[in-house]
Amino acid sequence: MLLNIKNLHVSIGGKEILKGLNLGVNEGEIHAIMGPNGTGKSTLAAAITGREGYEITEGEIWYKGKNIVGMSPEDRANEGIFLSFQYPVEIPGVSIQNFMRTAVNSKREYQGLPPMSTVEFMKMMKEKQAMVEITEKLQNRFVNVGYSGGEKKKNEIFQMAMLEPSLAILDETDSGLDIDALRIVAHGVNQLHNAENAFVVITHYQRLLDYIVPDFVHVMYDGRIVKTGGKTLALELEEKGYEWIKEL
Amino acid sequence: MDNQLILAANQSRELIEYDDDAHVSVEPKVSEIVLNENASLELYVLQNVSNEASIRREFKVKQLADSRLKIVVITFNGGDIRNTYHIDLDGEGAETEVYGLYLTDKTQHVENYLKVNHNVPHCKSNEKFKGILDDEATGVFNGHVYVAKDAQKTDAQQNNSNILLTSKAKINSQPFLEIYADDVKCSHGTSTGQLDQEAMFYMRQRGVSKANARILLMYAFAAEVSNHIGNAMLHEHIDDMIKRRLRGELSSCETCVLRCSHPKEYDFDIDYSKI
Repeated sequence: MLLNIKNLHVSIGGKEILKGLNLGVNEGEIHAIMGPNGTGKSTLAAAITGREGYEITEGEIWYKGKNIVGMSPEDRANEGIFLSFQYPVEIPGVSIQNFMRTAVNSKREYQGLPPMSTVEFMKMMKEKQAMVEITEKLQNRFVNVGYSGGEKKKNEIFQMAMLEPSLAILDETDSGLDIDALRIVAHGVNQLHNAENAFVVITHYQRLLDYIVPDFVHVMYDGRIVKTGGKTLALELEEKGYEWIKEL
Repeated sequence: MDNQLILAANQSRELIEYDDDAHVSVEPKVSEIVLNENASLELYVLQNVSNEASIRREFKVKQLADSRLKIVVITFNGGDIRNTYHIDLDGEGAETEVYGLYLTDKTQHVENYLKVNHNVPHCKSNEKFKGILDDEATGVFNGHVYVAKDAQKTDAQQNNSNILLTSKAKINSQPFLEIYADDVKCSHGTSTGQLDQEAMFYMRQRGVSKANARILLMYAFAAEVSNHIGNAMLHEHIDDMIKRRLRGELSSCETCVLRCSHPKEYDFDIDYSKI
């Protein structure tokens, strides 16, 4: 199993948000996590990626056979965990090219590989940009600065393509996207998906799941997964809303 | 050590001043600068002295019509540094830009005092000072822009921003506008904070180490000043020095022959037969 989360309890500032969550993800699978606001979906993403301030009070997160609780965010990233942020951060003064070059070479260093040559890197940039239909030159663009919501999300998928993760978490990647951007983002994800990697797609709406078809749909409520089903569960949620979930 | 620099009308000059490898204090120095009509001066000042040394540097500038001045002062290191700028815009169409960057740590102290007088209409001034203060470093920014009653159509911008890396580092920032004309475009601002933690996590989530993420953010912050260096070779050299300073590799004795900070490059051969 690629990711195996056992009885995860997470608190922020003493307040318990995740209350015993279990989730298993195998290579090659796509999992959707749905649920109303404030049920802990983004907290789950933060806990898996090692964000500071999210205290794991109980439970384990096993990834590629290691319990990664306590591992630094950068080591988790270099082990192949990628988070597409709900709100990608603007970093003035740092060009996307420089940022990606640092990231790609950090991963290579972690793997004991030499840095990528400039020519090779530029070729890879071009290829991956094409995948998400980014046509402009990125050399002088600062990370997410002056980007529209759609451009930011496309840029997240571009970075994902550059880093080739084995576990990608998409945190509400569909929020704020028009239908064209949604299609491009989904197309990028589908191209990257293969038998060796897995995707965890956090979303409110079933719309994205028309394009990225999940193997499993989980419904979160009050810090736990309360229901798991196939892709038809998403349709059921779309139809019936989340109210009935609270009764489970 | 005082000096005078007078540029004749239409003359243009670029000057680089470098206070370095001083283990004792640099003598106080005042430069009196006069820029005549349509003269242009770019002045780059690099300060890199030891933690025990002090610098007292003062610029007194008088600008006549359509003259242009750009001063960029980069303070890499120094125990106690005070820079004072006094600029009189006395001719219409004069433009002045002053940029400062200070990168301090330990118990270093850097002060920048700035007074820009818009004495006549249609002049433009822009000042941007940025600082990164580590350990117990302290600093002062005191900027004062004066716009005289008749100095209509003045365009004056002033900004100071700082990153404090520790809770013991301190900056006292006072931007100040004194305006007597009514048709002007003036702004001033100051901000002081820590490194952006959101950006730190974002970068680390992409596999960039905490140390490298810090350097990237600090460098990006500093580059907003160094990017104003017009001379490409100097710009590259300064950028390199900034990166090394932020990585903690640049020493005040960089140019000193002893090269204490590079022990690997120094190899004493001891002839044991003579002991």
